[in-house]
Amino acid sequence: MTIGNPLRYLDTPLRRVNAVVVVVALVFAVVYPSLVPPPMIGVGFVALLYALRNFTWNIAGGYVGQLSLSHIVAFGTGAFSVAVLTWRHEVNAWVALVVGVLISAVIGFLISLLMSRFGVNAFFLALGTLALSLAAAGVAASWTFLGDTNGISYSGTEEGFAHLQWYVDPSGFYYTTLGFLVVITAGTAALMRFTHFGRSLPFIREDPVIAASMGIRVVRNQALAMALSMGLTSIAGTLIAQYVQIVSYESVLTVEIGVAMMVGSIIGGAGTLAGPIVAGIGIAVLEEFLRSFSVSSANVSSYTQIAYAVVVILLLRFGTGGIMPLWEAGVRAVFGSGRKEKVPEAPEQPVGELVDGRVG
Amino acid sequence: MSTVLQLASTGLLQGLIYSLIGIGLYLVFTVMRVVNFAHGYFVLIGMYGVLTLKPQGFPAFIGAIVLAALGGALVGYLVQRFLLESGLAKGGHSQLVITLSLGIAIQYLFQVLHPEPFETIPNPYPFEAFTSSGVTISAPRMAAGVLSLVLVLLVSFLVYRTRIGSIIRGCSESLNGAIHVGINVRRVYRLTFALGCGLAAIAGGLLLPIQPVSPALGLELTIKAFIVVVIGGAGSLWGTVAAGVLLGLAEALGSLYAPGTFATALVYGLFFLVILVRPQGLVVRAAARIKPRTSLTKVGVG
Amino acid sequence: MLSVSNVAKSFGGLHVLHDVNFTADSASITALIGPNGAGKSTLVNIIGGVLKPDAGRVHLDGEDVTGVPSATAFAKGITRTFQISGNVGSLNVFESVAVAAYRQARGYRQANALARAELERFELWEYRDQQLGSIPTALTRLVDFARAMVSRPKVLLLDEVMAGLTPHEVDLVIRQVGTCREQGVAIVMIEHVMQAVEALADHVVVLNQGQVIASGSLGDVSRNAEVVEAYLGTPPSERDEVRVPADTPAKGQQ
Repeated sequence: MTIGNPLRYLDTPLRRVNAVVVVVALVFAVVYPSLVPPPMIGVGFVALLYALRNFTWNIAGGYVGQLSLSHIVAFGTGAFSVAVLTWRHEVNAWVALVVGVLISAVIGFLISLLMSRFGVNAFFLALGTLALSLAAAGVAASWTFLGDTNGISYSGTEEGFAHLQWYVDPSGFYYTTLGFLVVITAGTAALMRFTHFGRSLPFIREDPVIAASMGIRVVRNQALAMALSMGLTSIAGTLIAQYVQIVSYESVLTVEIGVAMMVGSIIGGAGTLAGPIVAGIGIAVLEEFLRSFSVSSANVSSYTQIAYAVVVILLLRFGTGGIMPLWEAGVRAVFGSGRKEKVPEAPEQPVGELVDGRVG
Repeated sequence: MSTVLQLASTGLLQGLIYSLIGIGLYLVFTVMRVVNFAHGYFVLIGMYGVLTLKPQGFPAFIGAIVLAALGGALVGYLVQRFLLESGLAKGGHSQLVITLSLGIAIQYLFQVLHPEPFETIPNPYPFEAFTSSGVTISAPRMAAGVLSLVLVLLVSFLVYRTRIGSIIRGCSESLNGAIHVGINVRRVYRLTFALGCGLAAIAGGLLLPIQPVSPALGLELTIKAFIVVVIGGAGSLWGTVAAGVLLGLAEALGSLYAPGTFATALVYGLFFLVILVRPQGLVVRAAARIKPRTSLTKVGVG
Repeated sequence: MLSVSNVAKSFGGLHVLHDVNFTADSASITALIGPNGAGKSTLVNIIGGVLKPDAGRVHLDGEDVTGVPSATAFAKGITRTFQISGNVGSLNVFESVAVAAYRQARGYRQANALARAELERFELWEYRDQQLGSIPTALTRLVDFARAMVSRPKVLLLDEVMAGLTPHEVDLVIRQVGTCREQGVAIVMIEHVMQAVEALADHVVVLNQGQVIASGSLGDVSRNAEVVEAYLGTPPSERDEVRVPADTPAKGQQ
């Protein structure tokens, strides 16, 4: 086989429209920092961080259906690892980032394994992981190693990509987060599309019994997905810690963060690639929009939390699967599905949530 | 010794309030098998309700609690009627996310309305603290414990001795059976949900003079309610009551040995273990039993 | 060759299976019939690794596979279809077949190629982009069968795969089951559609109240007094489903 013309995978209007949107969005994301003043670059960073956070939750929560709140622990682990290792002991921030990822992945793997071994259902998984996150917050609040109630503040002088720190211009944070988001999204897309592991995840979500009878190792794959998901969530924690330069149990181990990840993914469309990203950026834009009405910053977060809650309740109440399914239906309604008139023997690809080229 | 006794009696009385909160959730979660992650926020509604009414004197306080309870019950009724009912057939997932989000919405609504944390009201009761053999108990704490116990007894009478109670239990045991004998199941669900939420709101009113209220309290109380209900088990209401008292005692006596936040961490850690070792399947099985899923949208969360 | 010996299973005091013995030879089709509640599905669940038997063994080509997890059973070559696929409605048709193809396939491209070939064989290729929930029930059964076949199994357990199919679809499946037999697969089918049993079964095992009451050719067992009694003893509504012989098209079930 040879490498085919990538354009032939853009065979439906939906894929073509999505391709255009993705290209435009990427170009915009790249040029955005040069269009706006530095404070708005910070807003852009926050938007991308929300997107990253939602996206990584979605790997376990959306694709596998593990409604986990233990991602709070992962987020906190990322933040605390850079605070403890880099700020206190001057370990390179990238090393701290990797350490956070590994610890979170191990925690995720063990939690998932424990939950499956004991046959805990989705609801008790949510309740149990919530209890675990609250326990973690309690430990962090009373342990001086993790800064107890005072938190840990940044100390350091070095700047630049090698140190994952920029003091004045947030565009370094912005581009680093964008890079992570693009790489993780592309990686997840490839994983979900090309590997047995990735392709098995929706089956595990829909029916573990049928999945097992198709040769899918349900328990192992669930645990691996959880490890991957929580490990990557830790990156978001590290990035935000470096950005705000203070970490305490109140700032990174709160239930709101976990709920925001869960609800953000669901609003965007759980189990879709673009949904969590769209929802994350959308909520950041909403926050900024509220700020522009000179709402006090405490109330901004209150209103966005309420907005989150109301939107997700309405979505679930009326049975739609979030923004992405609505978008797809909308595009199909406008441009047609482009499938009917297809000649059956033309070589084609079966699925496509998002445009991604294939070596065929 | 007197410290232990002091803590034990405080813990016991606090535990009775947890029991009251717990049986509200017991009716909703264990009996009706509806997941309500907003339960603690209904306690919050009771607390802020009474706070807003600013009752002067004992009769006004009781009146305020009744009003707050009716308010909580009404909100509960509406939540079940408009948000959860359609999700009933879809299983626990959507209920979980809807009620969790609802809780967050309530929390931040109060955050906007009452930005001051730790608000409270003065002792509304016409008597002062009790002292006996070195143990001092404040009037609100004593009254809250006793009133909770009375309400727990009333609810158990309602559930086990009245026709309404037998209908509720009937729906819980066999939904199809209840439908066949002509019970309006939806109405029973709505009313039971309202009852559970109303009880939570009453507990909130009783709690207010003892425990200053902040919006973040809702989540803590939700978790405690689930701890009580899960540990109490599905057997009978009395398990829940016992678990409430146990939680109150454990909290109070635990504070002797461990600093505050660490003790709470320990409680949550233990609860995590309890969730692991208990036989599961409540919610999911209930959802499958109510109606075989014909709708194939899995509400996005799988 | 699949052999089931002395298998027993009870659920909380209710004896669902009691000392069940039968073998299913390679390149032959064994039909498992019996009234509702006879324990057929439980038996299939035990063979497929979903349930563990209380007693007895299951052997595949001499290897003991009793109580192995489903995924291992699949890896060893025991594949099955499911009676109900309603709650997996959001899954994609192509993916359903492609993921099962990984038993044979080395990697993505081969899995897709195998899945494509299988879908074309079942005249399902045009539905590849659809969700299981958005195609007719009859087609989900075909997808289910294609999913089982694509893994090139040693043992194929067909759990009422014909139920609800039109005569044309029944013919299609009958042809496919026949092809599968020629490839040397030991096929065990739970079937109420007698058109299929007549056309295909080399060997019939009749299960009643958890016990094998007769086995042999279809002709043999339908003359067996105990079998006749087992069926006549059941309410007419259920008896209808096992009309012997039957030339009517399949009755819709679920």
